[in-house]
Amino acid sequence: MVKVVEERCVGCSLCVPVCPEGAISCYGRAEVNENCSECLLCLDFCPVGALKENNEGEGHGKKTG
Amino acid sequence: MAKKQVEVLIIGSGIAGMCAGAYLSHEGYKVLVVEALPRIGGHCSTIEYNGIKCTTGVVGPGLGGPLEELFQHVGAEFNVRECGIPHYLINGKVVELPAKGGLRALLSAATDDEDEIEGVVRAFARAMNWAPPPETITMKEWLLQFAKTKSVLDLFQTMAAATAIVGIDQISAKGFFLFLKQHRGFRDWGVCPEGSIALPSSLAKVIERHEGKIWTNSPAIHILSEDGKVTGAIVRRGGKELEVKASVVISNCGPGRTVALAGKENFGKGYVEALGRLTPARAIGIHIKSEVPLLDYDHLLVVGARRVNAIFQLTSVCPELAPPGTHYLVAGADPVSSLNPIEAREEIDLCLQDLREILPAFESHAEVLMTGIYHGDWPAMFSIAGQAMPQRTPIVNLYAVGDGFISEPGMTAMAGAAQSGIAAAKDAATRLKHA
Ligand SMILES: Cc1cc2nc3c(=O)[nH]c(=O)nc-3n(C[C@H](O)[C@H](O)[C@H](O)COP(=O)(O)OP(=O)(O)OC[C@H]3O[C@@H](n4cnc5c(N)ncnc54)[C@H](O)[C@@H]3O)c2cc1C
Ligand code: SF4
Ligand code: SF4
Repeated sequence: MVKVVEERCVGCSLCVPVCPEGAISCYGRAEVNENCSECLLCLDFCPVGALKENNEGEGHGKKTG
Repeated sequence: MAKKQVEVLIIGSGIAGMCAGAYLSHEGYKVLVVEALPRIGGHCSTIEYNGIKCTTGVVGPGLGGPLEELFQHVGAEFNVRECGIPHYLINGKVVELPAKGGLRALLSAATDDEDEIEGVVRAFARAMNWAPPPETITMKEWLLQFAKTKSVLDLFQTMAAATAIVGIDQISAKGFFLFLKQHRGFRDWGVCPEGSIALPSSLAKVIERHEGKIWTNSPAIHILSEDGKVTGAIVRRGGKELEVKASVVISNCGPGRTVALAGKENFGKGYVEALGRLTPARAIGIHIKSEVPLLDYDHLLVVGARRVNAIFQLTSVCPELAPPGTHYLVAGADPVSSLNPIEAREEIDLCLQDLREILPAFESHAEVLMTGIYHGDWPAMFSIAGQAMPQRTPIVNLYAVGDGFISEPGMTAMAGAAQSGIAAAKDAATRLKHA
């Protein structure tokens, strides 16, 4: 699942329409649910860089580094 | 590192950057526009959602003025369809703005006090036709000399917020009247049948026709300068970094980012402080889809609601924006809180409460598509009306453009951003000619 960097997200909703899985909702701030397929499409569309690939492991995300 | 040479590098494809790019391309200069996002236009763009062409900001570009003139000058198509007569919701009554005597009609809906109406109408005429009030008082302070009814103050608050994204306690009285003069009473605006992105796309065609290029997914990560003069920028493209050398750099990525990209130390203290004093405009946009029309007219300016100040039924003007039988509306609101995450949710709730009360069919037939909040690093505008900033920066040949760098009095939002881009481009053209 991609991660929303909470301090950065302004809640503009621009990422919502982009997600092919409909995995992003935004009501004041973006939230990503478990339908996320990690296609990473949304990352490029956030104007403030608030969406990040989740590198923390825990079974999800591609571990890099 | 790979290198590339252009005459003009534009950072950001907002309407200001695209106006500058189209002007300079038309003048014969080699232009490259780099945009961080996958789509051009910034706040003047379009995202498809549920088959609807949703706006990323701009609801209705103004007709006439510097934007349309630039389109004519460079031979770009200006596909904007004129919108109908404004309606106001005041004390539960819908008032259609008459062709003449509009202010009196609106005030009569707001108050029964004839003396108050007369006082405001006269003061208004003096300010418009004789001498504007001083810069030193806010519009609210000015109004309080003549108005005492809350609805009257609310009426002006709606006018300011719905058309200039500013509060009457934020804008100076002089700024308000200058804005009003420029915009001829908020009548002349329209909607793009293909979505707001049509405007930057149309300018992109001009740039490409003159062999310029537009790169999306290509953020500038440094603006380079030597001895106080700009030399280009480092751009990230396709996972690689590239040095773009340019004689002129025009930055459309906002005040804070421009300073960060070029290095604060290169601007000098006063300039960075002046940018820090700019008050940004914040807004909320609620995007609505409905099976039935929610308004009987194109748009409604809402007076005295909790948060919502305007509702635009964009498909009434341009049905092409949604599939047949579907209506697309955008409600605009001015947030009052500082918008931390909890407050943001409360603000949206207040907007929805307003919409349920104002639009009878909202609850039964409408669906909220998106709730967009514009603040922080992605504000509705980097500067509210009336805060003039020049486009020339302390770094030679580095210009800053966009809605934070408007130098023309009375200009704001998209028209102001366009004006800033055109002014920078004209200045750059004279400098390039003599270089
Ligand atoms: C909800 C809402 C409704 C509005 N309605 C109207 C309206 O009806 N009429 C009107 O006149 N105005 C309206 N406005 C205001 C208007 O949208 C803006 O004032 C105008 O579009 C701003 O244009 P700009 O050129 O300043 O830049 P922006 O649109 O902010 O564009 C800046 C661009 O720079 C890019 N960028 C940032 N960093 C980099 C980087 N490092 N490298 C490359 N690119 C970068 C961004 O991705 C963006 O595309 C509205 C705004 C909002 C939010
Ligand atoms: S990574 Fe892909 S699937 Fe996951 S939220 Fe982003 S766009 Fe949706
Ligand atoms: S695009 Fe970015 S800032 Fe906007 S809601 Fe999505 S994550 Fe938040």
